Amino acid sequence: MARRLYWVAGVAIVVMMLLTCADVVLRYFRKPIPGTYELVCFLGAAAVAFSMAHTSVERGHVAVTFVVSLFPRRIQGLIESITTIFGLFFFSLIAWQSVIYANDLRCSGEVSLTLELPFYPFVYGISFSAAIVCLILLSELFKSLFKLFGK
Amino acid sequence: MSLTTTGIIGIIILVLLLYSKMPVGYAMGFLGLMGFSYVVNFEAGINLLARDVWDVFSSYNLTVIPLFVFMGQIAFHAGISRRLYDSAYVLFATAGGDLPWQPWVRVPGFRPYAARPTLRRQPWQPLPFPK
Repeated sequence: MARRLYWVAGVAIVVMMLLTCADVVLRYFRKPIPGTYELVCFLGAAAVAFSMAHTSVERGHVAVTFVVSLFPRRIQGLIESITTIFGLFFFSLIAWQSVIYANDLRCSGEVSLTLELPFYPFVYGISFSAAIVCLILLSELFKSLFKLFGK
Repeated sequence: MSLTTTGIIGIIILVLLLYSKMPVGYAMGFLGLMGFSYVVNFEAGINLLARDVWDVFSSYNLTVIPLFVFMGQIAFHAGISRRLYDSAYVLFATAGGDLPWQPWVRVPGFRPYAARPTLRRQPWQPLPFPK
């Protein structure tokens, strides 16, 4: 699943690049693409949101490990469990609140300035990817609990 | 508790969280949420959370970061960095000498090549450059 989201993010970045380049080139011919600014914003949101899950799987988030690695294995497990619970809490709140916010946006019918694209599908996207990050963090939590209580 | 005290305590907890192997982004976001919830209330904190996440993710100025990384990846996979090393080697390998900071600082990847005398005497031989 994370892998699929990762591909979506990659496609979003490539589209973002092509769109920006096309806009720059077409500007010379006095024909800029309308709404590039908004589209790049939306695609950027999609790219960042959908790549979070893959980064969590790969443990690619920047973290300071050198203090924790000094402790024995069980204490490492304990610290990891606590921090993972914090992360889980944080991302479940993001997922939950994003759904509420997206519902708000949908009901109020808020759209972007030039292209009049609705915001809410992208907010649902953020919520979805935060939920996936939650699942990944849950599996991490089980791993660190196993480290804590296992042999 | 005054706002300044809250802030100072927040910074202390932030440093603790940063050193506890929690990803830096998670730690900052989590602590920001907690601080705002403490100062105002939890309802406002989680309300701000969704808005802020959306605002930051869809920020036009911050979209340069993934694009910049993407550019770096393209440059790397197209072999630009490798060819830069190659050309620098071809141009300056016969000049002799060594990295001037070698005795004090060990630059990862540089030292083995600088320290191997056989490689220094054969300027045209292709090198296995560090990536």
